[in-house]
Amino acid sequence: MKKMKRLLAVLLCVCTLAALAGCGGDKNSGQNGGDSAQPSSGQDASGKKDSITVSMDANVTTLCPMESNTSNNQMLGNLVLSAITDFDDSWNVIPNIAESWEISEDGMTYTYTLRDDVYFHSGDKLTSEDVAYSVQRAIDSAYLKASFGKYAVGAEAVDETHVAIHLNQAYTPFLAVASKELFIHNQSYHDEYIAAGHSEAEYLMNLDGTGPYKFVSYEDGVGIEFEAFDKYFKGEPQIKHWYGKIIADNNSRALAIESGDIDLIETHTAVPASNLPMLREANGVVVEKTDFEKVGSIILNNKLPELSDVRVRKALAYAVDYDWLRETITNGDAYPTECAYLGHKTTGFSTADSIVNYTYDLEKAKALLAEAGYPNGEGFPVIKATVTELRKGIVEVLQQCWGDLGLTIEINLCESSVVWDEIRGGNFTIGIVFNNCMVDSTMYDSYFAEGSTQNFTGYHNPELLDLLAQAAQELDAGKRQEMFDQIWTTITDDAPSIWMYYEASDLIYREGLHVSGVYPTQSVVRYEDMYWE
Amino acid sequence: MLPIILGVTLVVFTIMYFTPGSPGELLAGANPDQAVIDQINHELGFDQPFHVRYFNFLKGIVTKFDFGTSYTSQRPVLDEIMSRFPRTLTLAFFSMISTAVVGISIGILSAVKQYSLLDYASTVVSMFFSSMPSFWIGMMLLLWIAMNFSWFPINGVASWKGYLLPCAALTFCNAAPLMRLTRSAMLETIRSDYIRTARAKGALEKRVIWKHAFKNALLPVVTNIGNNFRALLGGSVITETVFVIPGLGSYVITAIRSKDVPVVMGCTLFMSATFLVVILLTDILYAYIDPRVKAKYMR
Amino acid sequence: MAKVRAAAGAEKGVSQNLEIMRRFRKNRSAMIGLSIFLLICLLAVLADVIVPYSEAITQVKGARLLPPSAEHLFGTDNLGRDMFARVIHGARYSIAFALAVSACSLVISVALGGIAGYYGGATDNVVMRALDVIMCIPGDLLALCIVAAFGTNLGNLLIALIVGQVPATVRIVRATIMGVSSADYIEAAQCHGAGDARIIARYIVPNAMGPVIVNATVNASRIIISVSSLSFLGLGIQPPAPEWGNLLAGAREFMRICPWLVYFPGLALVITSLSINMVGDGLRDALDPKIRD
Repeated sequence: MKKMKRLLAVLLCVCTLAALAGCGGDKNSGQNGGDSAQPSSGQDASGKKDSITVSMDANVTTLCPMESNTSNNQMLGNLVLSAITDFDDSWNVIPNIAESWEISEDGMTYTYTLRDDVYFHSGDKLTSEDVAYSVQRAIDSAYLKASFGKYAVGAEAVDETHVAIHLNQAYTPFLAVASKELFIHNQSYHDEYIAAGHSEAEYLMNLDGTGPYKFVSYEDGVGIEFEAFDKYFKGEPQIKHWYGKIIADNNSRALAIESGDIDLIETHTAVPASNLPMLREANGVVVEKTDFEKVGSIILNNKLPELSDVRVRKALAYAVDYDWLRETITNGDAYPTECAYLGHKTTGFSTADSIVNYTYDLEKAKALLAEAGYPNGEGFPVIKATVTELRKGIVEVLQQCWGDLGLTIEINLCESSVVWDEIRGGNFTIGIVFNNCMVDSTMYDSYFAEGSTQNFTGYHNPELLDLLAQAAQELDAGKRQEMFDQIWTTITDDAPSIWMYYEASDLIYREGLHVSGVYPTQSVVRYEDMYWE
Repeated sequence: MLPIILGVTLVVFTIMYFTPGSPGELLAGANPDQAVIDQINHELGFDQPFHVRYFNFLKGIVTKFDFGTSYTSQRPVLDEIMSRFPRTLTLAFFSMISTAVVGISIGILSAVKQYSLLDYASTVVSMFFSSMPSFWIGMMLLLWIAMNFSWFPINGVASWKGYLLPCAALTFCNAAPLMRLTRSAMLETIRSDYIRTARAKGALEKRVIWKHAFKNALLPVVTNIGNNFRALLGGSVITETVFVIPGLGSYVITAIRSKDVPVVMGCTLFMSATFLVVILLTDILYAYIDPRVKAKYMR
Repeated sequence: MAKVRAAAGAEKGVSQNLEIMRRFRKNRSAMIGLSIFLLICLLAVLADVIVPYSEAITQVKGARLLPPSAEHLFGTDNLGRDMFARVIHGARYSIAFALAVSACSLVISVALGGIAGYYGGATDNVVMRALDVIMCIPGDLLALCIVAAFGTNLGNLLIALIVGQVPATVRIVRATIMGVSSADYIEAAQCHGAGDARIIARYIVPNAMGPVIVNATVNASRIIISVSSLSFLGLGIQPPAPEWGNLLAGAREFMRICPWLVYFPGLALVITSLSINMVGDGLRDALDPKIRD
């Protein structure tokens, strides 16, 4: 009996220790201190809900949209930082931090007049020095090299509220580019933070911005927390607490919103199409179609010898059964592409007859492949598909489609945080990309420019780049459209990628949430105007 | 035990040595210039020969508790592990307890009431459950219970309720072998001479079972529970994926898919070390239960 | 003299095996398990005859997500593929892996365990310490590391699973062999001048095989589950191969609207694993001298 008692005592001790470890661990909030990012059902004085929980699909690596390509980071960046100008629903540039702007005669200098009442979260007032500093950051950023960084060369603070940005050539879409890509940092805060011994990577997770929300804490694998900034220059947001909950598993998001675990699923954190019908019928859930257009494409590694032949690429394009793809992946909810990457609202959208739109034609595909030297796929190396779990389904359809040509596909499964690194490193034959439709056609030059981070295909066509540059400077709208017709004809004819379909994204949120709008071109929702009814 | 830990580090290091890719490629950021990649690799000591890298790896762990830095998040691997490990440990620990309770109690009942309906039923049911993969049981539990009763959270462990279904899944899978082991150990003990003696002396049946049979049958059972912990830690990888728990298991899967070698090494080492600690505790427990071992150590 | 002894030994071996088989046959659940397992093996071998492989991988338009019916016994999946065909062909992977890994790990374990157990001393120590190290690492995790480092092809998967199985099997082999090695008849054979190889082949291996075979069958069911677990995580057998773990991974998305996609592959896994377990149990009972008939 004594032995039994001792045994029980030992077991009890170990139990308690483990339980303590378990409980202690749950309260652990990672390296940023503060409480762990668990949403409490916050309510304000009148009993209305004042917090929101949004689902995120991956871990957060940076809060600055200028230092990343992923929509995840851009969504958060828009909470913390503000861009110099904004867009309205028709994609026109409207004031934000800058009240107005002037363009010089030669089109190479843009002078912005800034608002006088913008404050950072730390309490510092925004000055033109901060804007000039941010311009330099944008120029230096590796992610903006092919867009903002290509055309802007520098900026200076003319006086307290005026800043002048200099370009190296006249560039018509610059206002739109700046509106999309130039986010304002606090120069003095940055310098102090780095001087205190922190690294740049740490700074990017602890930004001081002018955005509607202040960063509170982040726990890897769990979530991130923000709270409303009372001195936001457009007025304090009505929703006081913003929680981002990391739900990496695609199938769980639909369940989470149905059960009320989360309040909103952004357009970019996809929910598998098969879940949508159920969500549309579920109580308390609203599924709203936005006019956010996204184009899904299969990127081909043009640098590989087998894919450098345009006939092979065309053969692959003709062998895809686009109807079947749309039916199985999107439940029939998407549309055939009409002009490569472009959405209907993009300037330069071309309806010319010369645009090549690929349709399913297996015989033609087989003929082209044989012509290129691979009859029935003989001698064609195994196709390596580098994709995330979410896009694996598309590759399975392609295995069947291209299997008819005699080709085999091997799947290289990656996490979303590294799939672009793998692709940039050339470790792929095909990949799957979903791009948001941009404001202006010339902004797509980052997809084709040599050495651009967005140029996954490795496609290189100097004449095309010249044409794009000319179009950027062309002031006459008619002539520009002619140039775009030519540009998109060349691109679709060369087929560096295969454009599968375009879809308008769905925004899914709980009933009672009043959603005002989305940032066009950024695929993220505006939170500063949101409130619960 | 120390040579075993060293051995584990060597095995893990050797396996991950063969992973294609280098930290330079993953850390070079947006524009991978070969010179930049080589520079990063040189800074991190990646271009050193095998034994130098292994030695540095060991030195880091022993002197600075430095398990390396994650390629994806740029944070120390140990910090990342420590923020996730409590959840895995909680899951494994409570699963172990519930497995032990369910397995042992049913095993004893089966042994005591051998050849009864309960015995046959529990044998069949336990065999049925032990043949199920844990992820399938997890999916079934989600399908039938979590989706129909909103009291159970769908995923994650934000509250203690989140641990119930995953523990249940692991218990279903692992209780069966334990139950059979307890049953056969008890049967063997019950048939032995000293039990017959105790009964002949007129001792109460309950006393016979608990005081004599159970304690003696306990030894192999305790060993099995300890060994089971290894299966529970390994099984946590699958269970955490199905139930979307941000613990060490799902972190390893993410790291493997992100080719984040330091994290994979660190997590594997950590789990192996935990298992060794559990074995050690089991051995200590042995000393308390088994009078023969106790006599050896206590004069 | 030697001939007489040898004859006596051989006779004893044969009748013992017969005895074991007799007891196995009397065990009802073991026989049921064996018949189910043989049926599944038959299905796996004859899969192409029952249902052509093309039906298992060809995507059929208009036949997406159909519930079970006369035409599609187990329904269809998201790409219109017939689930019955996929489950039947999936059996091939599970059975093949179970047999291949069991056989390979058995051979390797017997070799290692035999050497360690028979020679003892330093050899024994080295082998056992090395295997202890491998046993420390949770099995699934070890397989994942190997697959992550070397790639997800069939060969690496095979190696990963064998490495996971060998340590425990070697332990049993070694323990049994040590037990048998110290028996009197071994000493007698040695006195008669029998060489090491003859002793190992003629006496040790046949007598030690019992527990080893039981262990192998138990492990076989675990291998089937490991393979499907790895495929479920996307790190095992790659699509479009209709391996059961792949089927279940694909079913997750449609779990609520099409639960049959989860039931059928899962049941296939359970039944296969269960039948092997029942056989293993029966073997264990048949080989255990302490259990009376």
